[in-house]
Amino acid sequence: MSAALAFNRLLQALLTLLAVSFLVYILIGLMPGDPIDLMAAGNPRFTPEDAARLRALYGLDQPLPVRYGRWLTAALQGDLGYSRLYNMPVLEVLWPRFVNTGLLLGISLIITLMLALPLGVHAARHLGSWSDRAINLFCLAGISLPHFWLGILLISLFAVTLGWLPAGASLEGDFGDDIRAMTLPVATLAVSGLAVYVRHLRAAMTDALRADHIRTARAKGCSPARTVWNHAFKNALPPVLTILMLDLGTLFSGALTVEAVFGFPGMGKLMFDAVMGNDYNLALCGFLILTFFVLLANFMADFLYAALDPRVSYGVKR
Amino acid sequence: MSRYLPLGFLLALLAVCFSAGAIENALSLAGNEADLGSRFLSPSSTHFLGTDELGRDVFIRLLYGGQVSLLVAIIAGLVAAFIGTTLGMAAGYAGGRWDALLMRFTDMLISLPALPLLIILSALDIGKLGLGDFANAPSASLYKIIAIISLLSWTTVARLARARTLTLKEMDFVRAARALGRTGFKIVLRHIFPNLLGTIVVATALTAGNIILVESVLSFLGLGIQPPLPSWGNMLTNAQETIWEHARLTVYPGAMIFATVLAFNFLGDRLQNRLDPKSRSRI
Repeated sequence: MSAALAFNRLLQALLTLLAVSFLVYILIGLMPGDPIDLMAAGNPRFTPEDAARLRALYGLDQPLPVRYGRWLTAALQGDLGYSRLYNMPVLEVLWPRFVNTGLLLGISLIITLMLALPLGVHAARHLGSWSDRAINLFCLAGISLPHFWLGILLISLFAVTLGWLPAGASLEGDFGDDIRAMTLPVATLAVSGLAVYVRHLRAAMTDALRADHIRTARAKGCSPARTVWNHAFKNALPPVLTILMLDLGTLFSGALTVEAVFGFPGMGKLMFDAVMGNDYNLALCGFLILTFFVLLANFMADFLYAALDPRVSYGVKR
Repeated sequence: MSRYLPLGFLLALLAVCFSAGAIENALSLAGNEADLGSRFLSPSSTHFLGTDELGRDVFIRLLYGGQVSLLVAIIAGLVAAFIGTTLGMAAGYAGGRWDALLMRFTDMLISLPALPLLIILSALDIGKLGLGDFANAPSASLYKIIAIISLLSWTTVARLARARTLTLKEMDFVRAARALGRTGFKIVLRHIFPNLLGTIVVATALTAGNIILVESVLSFLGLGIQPPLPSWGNMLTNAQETIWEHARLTVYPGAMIFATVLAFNFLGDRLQNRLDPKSRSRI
């Protein structure tokens, strides 16, 4: 990818982030409750003059663009404000939760891909066969399944009926217990994502198997396994990996649901708790951070695609 | 499987759910009234699916919940289809800078983490938007959820409508209309829109399925439809709280969501094949 184009993409990502941050700032103002009212609530001797003084002190009497400018300057210096719910700076609350979510998503994604690869490739190799149709049907069911219900069903089977695994997933720091606690959330996420990736893989693999060089490979006597894995699979992987990178937003959404069902201490659960506990600054900053990572992944997806597939070059303009 | 099964299922579901009141009377049950004397009853000939934690009949509540879920899916689906079609056609037909701008915006919206955004939006105080009276109405949570979901669900329709408009725009009959001096607005309305209908219907069916999923998650989290108004999502919230004693109750609402979404997805798939027989089995 040429430098100019990379710069262009980076600029776009930054503009989007700026737009989202402005949106977030506006939304903070639209959330229930008013900080000054909250301070006044516990104090019977609070006069309207005091309120006006406090408003001036915190700069709340300034016009919106000025306030946003101040907030943005502070945010860029890493000061995202304070969390009312946890009595800590927002970033300190967010970081450990973000790591947990990353772990949850990472592990389940690896499992998803390990299951999706054979299924997708098999379906593409045997288009129209009964196994292909069965896989298709499974995929259609998979994308129609509410993830949180799957989580609840797994709890009811493995925690309530069989008693093998804990129903909640709070991490206590004990390695063995944490693994047991994470099993059900990871399984829920892995199965939920499976259908989507099998579909993408099947489509990409079908395209790859239609290419001329596959026919050449077959004609020169290449074994079927070698043709599929060495010649076709290599070409099917870049689009799927790119979709994966572009899908980070969806992955975060899935993680949020599963974290809420199992009480897993990740970003999603945190944002949910923050919204329920009226800690809107925390929720919105969480959203801003998630958006930042989504945009970063989108930006990197372009590079990844060009790196994996040498035929793609964004730089050439005719 | 029969060709008409998904559509038949959805129509039957619609009919049964919206005659919930009549069914309730016929069975002489009161679905939304608590009866603490008959909590957690097992399925019987009076209570087909038993009763819940407040002694309410689960079957009747499923029907009322279905009313809400289907209403949200239909209204939000139609609003999303309207917004998506309008923007998609405008972007595709206008082309150039407008197209780039609108599609950038669509891409941005698609890439955002949707559910985190939705839970934040559902916490909004609509009173602060100057809708004070409206915000206090009992069914405000229903309208709010419809508004929020429609505003984030139009992207699929918009992208497909735009892609199709780009093709249609270059076709001879459209060029002929342009040469005859028809205005852009009329060309879009008379010549492009009718040819888009199939695409829009498919995209809307798939969107509606997705809307049901989103609504149920939000209601499950306690941020969508507010009790006592039942929805499949918030029935699951209550069911999860009593999962240790009565796991049975977690099955029904989830199965309803699953079956309905599956029907919408099958319907979309089938229509797609019908409209474009070359693309057997959508990927």
